Amino acid sequence: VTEGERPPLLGRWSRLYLLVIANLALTIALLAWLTSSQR
Amino acid sequence: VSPLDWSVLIGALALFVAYGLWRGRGGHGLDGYVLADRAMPWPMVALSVMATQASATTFLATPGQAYVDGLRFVQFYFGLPLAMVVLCMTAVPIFHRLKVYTAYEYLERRFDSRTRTLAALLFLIQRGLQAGITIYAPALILSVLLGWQLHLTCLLLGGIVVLYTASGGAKAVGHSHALQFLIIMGAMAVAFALTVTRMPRGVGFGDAVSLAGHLGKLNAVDTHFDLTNRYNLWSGLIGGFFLQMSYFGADQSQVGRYLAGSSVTQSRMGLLFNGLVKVPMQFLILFLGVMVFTFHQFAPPVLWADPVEAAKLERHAPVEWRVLETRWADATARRASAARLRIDARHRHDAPALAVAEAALGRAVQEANAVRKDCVALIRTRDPAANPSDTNYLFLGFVLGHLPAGIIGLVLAAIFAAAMNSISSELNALSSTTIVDVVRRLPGRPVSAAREVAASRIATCLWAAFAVAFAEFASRLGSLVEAVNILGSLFYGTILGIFLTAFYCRGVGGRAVFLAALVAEAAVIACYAFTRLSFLWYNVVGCVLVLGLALALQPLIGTKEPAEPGPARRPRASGA
Repeated sequence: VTEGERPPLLGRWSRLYLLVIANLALTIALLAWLTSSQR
Repeated sequence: VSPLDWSVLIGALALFVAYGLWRGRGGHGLDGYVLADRAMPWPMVALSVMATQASATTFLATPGQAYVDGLRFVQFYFGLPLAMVVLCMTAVPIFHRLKVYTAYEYLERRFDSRTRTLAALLFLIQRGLQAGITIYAPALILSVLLGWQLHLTCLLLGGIVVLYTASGGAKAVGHSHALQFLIIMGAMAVAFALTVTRMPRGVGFGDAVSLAGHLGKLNAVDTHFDLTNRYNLWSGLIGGFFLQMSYFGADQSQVGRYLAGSSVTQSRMGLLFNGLVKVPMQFLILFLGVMVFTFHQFAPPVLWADPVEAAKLERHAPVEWRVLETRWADATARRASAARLRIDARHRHDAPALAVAEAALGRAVQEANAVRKDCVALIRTRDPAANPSDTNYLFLGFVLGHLPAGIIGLVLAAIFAAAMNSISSELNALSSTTIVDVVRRLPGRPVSAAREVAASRIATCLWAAFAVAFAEFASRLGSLVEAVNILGSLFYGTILGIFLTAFYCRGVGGRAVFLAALVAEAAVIACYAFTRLSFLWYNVVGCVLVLGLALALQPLIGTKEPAEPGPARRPRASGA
């Protein structure tokens, strides 16, 4: 079982999870900006 | 469709089948046939997961949806990255640790065989019917636009997929996904570039975006909370999260993809990559639809993109049809000229001229919309059972009418590939669940691995035959298609609730969760029958009810501690 393996990026799984969530937040912010700027 | 397009299409289909057969060759045990020997690196897991989710309908209907409704459908995917993170923390290490073949196998170890059987049967019913629709939807559109018989396109789609899926199992499916998904992405990128470069002279990318925004097509985020509104930020984040959790955590067609990863790390990386790129990818597919919409502001499209329905109107109501066509030509000509005036005014920074052009554009768009509305009314009057929407035909109609020879064949190949991707995952998952969760548990002597693989191949062929037969049947029962699509949302929440109870409520036993699942399912069906709640919320209702009821019932009717603990009892994964 390889549960203890480190991810190949960023050293810790928690950092990778944070990256995915931050990417989502940034995408939503950009899309919200697109929505409001073109009204 | 030119001879060059046919060559590209036939060549691509032959390549897909040959590649699938080649990668799936060699002897298999059940591990190889069901989970590709659990040897896939994460890029393959990521491509396979994404290819499974993106069916032909994604590439046919999504640009059409954006054409009609703007970008707001992108919010449907907002819950997906969150679901990927939660699944990486829970389901992935548990499934890997227990070395299960299917997600439902875990339920027996955690609860009892009754709960496993319930979840597996719900999956087989729902996914078996969905597989028919996965074949039917693109087969119908392709048959209409290419002028082929529907049963021929159904048979062709089902037949070419079953060739390599039955022989090579998960290995063939996974490798084919990678090749086909890269071709699909390439074709969509080429279609996007050509759409933008084919705008009329003097209309740049910025002008096209500005015009789309002015006409309300860049409505990507709606922060208004409304339970009856299908797509807004909150339904996407909350309802979408539960839907994606159910799909990726409890649907074997996805679980089988990431369990093929060679380790927990490879499976997690595949899912997290999906979490990173899925929303931007869906945005770009929708944005392609918006660009096609803008293109058609200058080069007016046909009044009704579904050629079969248009031909029926022309034949059965020729006078009304001619009047509508004349009105449509007039309104779209005025719309094109007003759109051009708006762009010129924008270039000159001439505010008064811009206001005049926008007023004229508004009137022309209103008139064009009124003509389309009258066309829908005419369709409904003539045949109340007819499909009053041409959304699914808009993008392929544009491709066939405006893209160069060769590229049309490439886009058609991409659409076939997308259909094949989803169908192959579904057939592989249906066959795995049938063998592992049903046939293997039947009383009798244990059989050899070779016989189990042979039985899996037969099950794949039988499910393919069922899916093609159901696709043909569905063509005669239009409303059934919608009913089958709703069926997924009716069961997903309950199945997810069972899994979340298994993962997080370690004191809850099989009897409590089984009863909770039955009550929750009845409540979800009641929501569907008696309320106007949007379908994404069914997943929340089903899941929360199972969790809440199981916790409440456990002290009253519960049995002793479960046999196989959830993640709370394991040592924490490093850094997770």
